[in-house]
Amino acid sequence: MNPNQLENIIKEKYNQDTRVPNMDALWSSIAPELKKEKRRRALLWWWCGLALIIIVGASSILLKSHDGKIDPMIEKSSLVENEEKSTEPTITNVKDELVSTDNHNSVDNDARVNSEPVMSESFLTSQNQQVLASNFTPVASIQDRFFNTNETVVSIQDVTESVSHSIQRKARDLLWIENIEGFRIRPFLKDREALILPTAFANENVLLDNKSKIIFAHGLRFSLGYGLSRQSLGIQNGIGQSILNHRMSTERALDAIQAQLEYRWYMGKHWSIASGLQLDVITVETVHQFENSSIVELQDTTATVTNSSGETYAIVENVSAVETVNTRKTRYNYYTSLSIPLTLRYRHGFGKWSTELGIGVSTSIWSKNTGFIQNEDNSEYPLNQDEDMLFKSRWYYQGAVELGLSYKMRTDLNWHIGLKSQIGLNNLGTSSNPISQKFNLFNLQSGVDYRF
Amino acid sequence: MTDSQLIKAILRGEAKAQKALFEKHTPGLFQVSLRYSKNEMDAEDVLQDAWMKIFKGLSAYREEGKLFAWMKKIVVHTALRKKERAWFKNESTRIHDIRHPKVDPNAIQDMTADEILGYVLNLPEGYKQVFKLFVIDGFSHKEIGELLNIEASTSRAKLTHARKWMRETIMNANKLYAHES
Repeated sequence: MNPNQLENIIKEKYNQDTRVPNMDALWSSIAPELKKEKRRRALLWWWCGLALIIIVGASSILLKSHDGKIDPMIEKSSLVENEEKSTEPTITNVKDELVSTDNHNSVDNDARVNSEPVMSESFLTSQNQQVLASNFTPVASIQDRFFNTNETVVSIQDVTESVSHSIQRKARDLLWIENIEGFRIRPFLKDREALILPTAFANENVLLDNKSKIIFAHGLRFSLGYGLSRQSLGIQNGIGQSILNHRMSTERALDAIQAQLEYRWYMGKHWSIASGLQLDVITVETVHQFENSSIVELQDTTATVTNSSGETYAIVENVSAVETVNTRKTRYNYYTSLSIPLTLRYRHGFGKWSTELGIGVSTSIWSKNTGFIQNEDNSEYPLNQDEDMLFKSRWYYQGAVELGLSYKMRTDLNWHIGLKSQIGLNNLGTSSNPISQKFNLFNLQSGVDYRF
Repeated sequence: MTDSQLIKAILRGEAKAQKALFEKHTPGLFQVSLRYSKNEMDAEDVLQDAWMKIFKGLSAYREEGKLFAWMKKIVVHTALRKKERAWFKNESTRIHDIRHPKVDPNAIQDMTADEILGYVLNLPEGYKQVFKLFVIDGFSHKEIGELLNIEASTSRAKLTHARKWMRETIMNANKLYAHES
């Protein structure tokens, strides 16, 4: 007898087995589970619907609530802005105004500058020397510097409130130069505000560089689902980089914890919808470094400010004293975020490898708690409840694109690596730019899932 | 009602269609389940879990005309995972050693299913699954690789060893039979 014959006989014998299960008993144990499953599925739809309603509802509330509302910080810090609320600049008209200021003989420009109430505004230096700033005349290169640079305007996350800006805010700063309105680096340098601005502005490296933030997030990811081996428990580490357009500050996350509970609903072989809850706790150290790289020459009462490249970009007349500032403050903030993501994913497998493309939205509630602020000499800066915004919470909205790659090490063990890009909106903006933006260049995550 | 009609009815939410599909395929799937379970009770448990997965996964099922093969794969997968979990829990899943039946190989045609099972069940554990999956249930080496988390080439090698083992066992049984008679 050859092996094939034997195998055929074995197969035949197996097929002769006529044992049958107790069909009724088996069905009676399956039927209630199927009903439960149907309810679970309905619940998931409700959950997805609820997540969408929250995202859309919160977005509309946010947009409405910022309609015509002035950010309290801006209100406090910008005296002239308040007076000029009705003619609050937009990008376009500020540009136009700047163009008009190129021509110093412009009647309109002269009339406006002369009418500014802050022309005689006086500022106190730290030595209580009075500095009179008037006829602060911008030169054409200022316009070039701020509008023809590669400084991005999309990546704003206002962590420090006082030093991040949208382009509108930046435009206002330019307007300030014309108006000598005053620029306040709050809450740290209240007494030095008149001198900080030209010094800080002169330092192109500080101003025009995009500061980036790198967050190393370690945490557990719990993933629950159903279907064929859909339940999984995973652990993952992530490295993320966000481009933040912070002026004069750098920040880094000291530590981060990320926990995610995800329910995933598979719609066929390729498509799935995931939703759940994600908790992030991050400690961020923000360092504000104001360097004096500009040179201020005082001749009689005229101060000439040149930047590090030797360009003269500001001439201030009627100046009685000049103080340059080089200071450093470190601020520690604790952020907690609870997010509801909703992601649609498409998966395609190639043997043990598979790729996954996802697109999603999420809404988060962020709360920020200012721990403490250190001066340069490590002494503690006294916190002020109003100005330092010791605690506040914000809604945050994000759109995300994900690209993942996974390798099935065993049927129950899956290694994955994923790249996630997010662009988000929050309500940390200013009155003229109510919604500021955040752009996470990438968030790289890697880990293993155990499917059970 | 054809399988395709039943699937459409199930996806429309008809509970009766679920039961109809269950009644149509349970006997066949139970045979599959039995081959990878240690007893009938275990096989029923496997089948229960497998049917839940089948109903949940029906919306994903796209291969027209191969429904039973798809369901069979789910049953085998469920049984193998159950066995792995039992191993983790340190449960004994070993089938009690069955002594090689002393039969005349020429009379193999007259052997009962249990006697035939005796040979198959005595295969070393690593070969047994591959042998059953390939010979009895007709899975390809690629599919076996996916089910057992091994390479297709490993599956091929294990099958060769299993066949050799079967041949030698039967030859030994034949010698023993000749000696004793």
